[in-house]
Amino acid sequence: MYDPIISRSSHNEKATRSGGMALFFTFCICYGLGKAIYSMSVDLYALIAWIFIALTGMADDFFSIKYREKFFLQVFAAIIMLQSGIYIDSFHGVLGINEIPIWASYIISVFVFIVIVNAFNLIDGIDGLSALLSIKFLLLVAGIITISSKEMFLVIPSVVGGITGFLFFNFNPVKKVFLGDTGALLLGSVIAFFIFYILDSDNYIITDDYISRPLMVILLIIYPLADTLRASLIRMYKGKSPFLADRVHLHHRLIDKGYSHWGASTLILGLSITVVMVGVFASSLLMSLTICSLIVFIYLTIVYFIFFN
Amino acid sequence: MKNIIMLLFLSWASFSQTIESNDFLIVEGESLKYFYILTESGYYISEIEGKNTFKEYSKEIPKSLNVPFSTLIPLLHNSQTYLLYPGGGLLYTFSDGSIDRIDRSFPHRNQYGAHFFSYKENIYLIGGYGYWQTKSIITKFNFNSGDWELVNTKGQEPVGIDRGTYFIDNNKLYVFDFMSREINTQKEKRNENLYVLDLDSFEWKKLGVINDNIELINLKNKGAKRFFEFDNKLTFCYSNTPEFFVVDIQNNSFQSFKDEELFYKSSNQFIIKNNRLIGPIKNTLTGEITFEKFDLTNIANYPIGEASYFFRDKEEFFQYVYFALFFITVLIIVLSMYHKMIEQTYILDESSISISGVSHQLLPIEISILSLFSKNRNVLNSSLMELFAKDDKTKDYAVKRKNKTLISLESKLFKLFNISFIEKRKSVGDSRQLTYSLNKKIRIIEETIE
Repeated sequence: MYDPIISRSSHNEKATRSGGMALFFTFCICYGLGKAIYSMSVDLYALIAWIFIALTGMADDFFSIKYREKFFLQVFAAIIMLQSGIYIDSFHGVLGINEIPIWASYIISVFVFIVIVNAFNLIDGIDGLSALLSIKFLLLVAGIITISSKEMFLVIPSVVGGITGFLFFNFNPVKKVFLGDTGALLLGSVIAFFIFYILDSDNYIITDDYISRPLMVILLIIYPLADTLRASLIRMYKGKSPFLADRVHLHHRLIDKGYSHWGASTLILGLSITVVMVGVFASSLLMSLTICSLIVFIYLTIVYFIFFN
Repeated sequence: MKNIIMLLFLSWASFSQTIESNDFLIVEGESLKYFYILTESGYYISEIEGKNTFKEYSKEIPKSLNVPFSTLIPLLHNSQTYLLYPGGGLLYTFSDGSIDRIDRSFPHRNQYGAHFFSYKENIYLIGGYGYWQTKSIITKFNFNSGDWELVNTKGQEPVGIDRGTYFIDNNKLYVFDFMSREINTQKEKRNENLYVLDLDSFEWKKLGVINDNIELINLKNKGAKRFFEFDNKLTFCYSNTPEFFVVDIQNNSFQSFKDEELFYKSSNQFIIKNNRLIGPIKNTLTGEITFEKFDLTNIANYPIGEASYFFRDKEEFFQYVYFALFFITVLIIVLSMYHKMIEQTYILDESSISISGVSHQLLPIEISILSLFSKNRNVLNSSLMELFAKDDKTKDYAVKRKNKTLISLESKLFKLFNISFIEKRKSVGDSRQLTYSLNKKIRIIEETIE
């Protein structure tokens, strides 16, 4: 379970990859108690998908499974999740498209699931980053969930509580613990489910009066998305596989510039919160998706040149 | 409190009418002065002011009406009283002292517990339970063909609406507190959201979760729910509690009230007439049924709680967002305090010292010195001297070597980590004795190899 120290490693202390497993077991216990005492509930298929993806992560942490096998298992988990009936069934006006055919819904949902799960896995390169960004996402989305689904809302505090506990070990140099693939994949799949929930047109989303659903979702996970996209493009430009592990991520840039892990993680957290605020503010004032997207893009470009260039 | 109960008592006690049949249906009637109580043998014309007249039906009751009268669902639409067969399908009118069937349908048995309502010129049946499934369908009666037609809806339709609470406000039908069951192997599950149906476009919209403080339907008390519109507001209550709720959906607020009399004791059959709620109360000793009235103009005068939101909406959302931002801020502050506490924690192994992924090789003697500081923050000079003492060398040589090594180590560490590690000071107990102390901000932890 010890994480090997290799050239790409940003640590040289002994550290285990058990954080994700701890998070998974914490969630299981909380879910059991929440279900018994507070009628906490999430769709059974989503729950099965989370458990399946956590087991996939465990297999990877213990035996380092091949990327293709992991990819296949992720697709399988995505298909299980779709059985919940919660998936992306509309573009909500993006490119002038609203409802989409069911087969397109399934394909897009599986693709989005794979992207999100892997994006959260890829940004788990420095202490606290993946965990802090997951907390940010879950806390902000909890506001939407608490308005429309009391039972599902209770899932969020149980996950956030688990991640908060994990963070104290993640930053501890003596008892250092990493999320591992179990944690990163689990958090990614939980986040993917809530994104499906927001983008499913059957659900009441209170922010509809302020911001377009797709724009909000992109803003909420802007860092994992932008970083994964950027890293993949750079690798492809260099003629390498887009899935190759290296040190081209934005957070590695901050570390190379002299930021500590804590400094880099909190800076990215702060910046990603401001991106959400800029997007919501622009959207509630203008309500034009194109102009809002342009404003957000300009803001992101400025942020990139100030902090990451 | 006594005065309130007295007032409530007086408001209904002045009126009471008795009937002999146990199976009856109370219907509003077209006049404001009286209402009807239909029984199998005939009907009562009950004047609001107290006179009760029994009459036989002018025509024989249709044979298809083979269920207890109390199970029929009455509706007053365009001054005409309609009676719906339980489960939907058969439809009757009651006028001029006779009950007549007007449909060409059959007993659907598909919408038990549905809501029968009228909007504009049509009458509709929505929701219900039938064939082991909860339904969210809407059927409209076609007065020309005598058939029921399925109305196509769109939007965020609930899976099923069994025993819901309904309220019509302009062209919007609100529904909440209902049970749903998608497939017959599932248990019925209570839906906690408020839904709204546009009665012109028939588009459903799901709204927020109902306030937790409203005691909603209890499976043990099936069907014992009453709801009606009064003063453009929804009033509803349950027979297992004297508490009732008045909801202002436009302003998203509700307030609870307490009634120790009619609401609490009467059955779920009732009508609203001239600002009065009229309903039957059964004497548990004699079995006699009397019809009592309750002046609704007084009901909202004695709230037992502050007004609160009815369903979770923007206000609750923003309250939550502020909480989330506060939580993130507190979490960052706590984590940064924790990080500050541990940021100068150095890991010492058999050949190097490291922090936050940065590692530097040290000489064995330097490792030994730092190892002493990892065990004790204050190290006596004598302890350090033990590391340098050699049998074949003089003590002076050991002292010089110790001082040189310490200066070199301190300089090296300061260059690497930009912080002073070791300070030299005189011992508190004995000024001749030197003590070396580790900087208070620094912690060294020795990693043992297993």
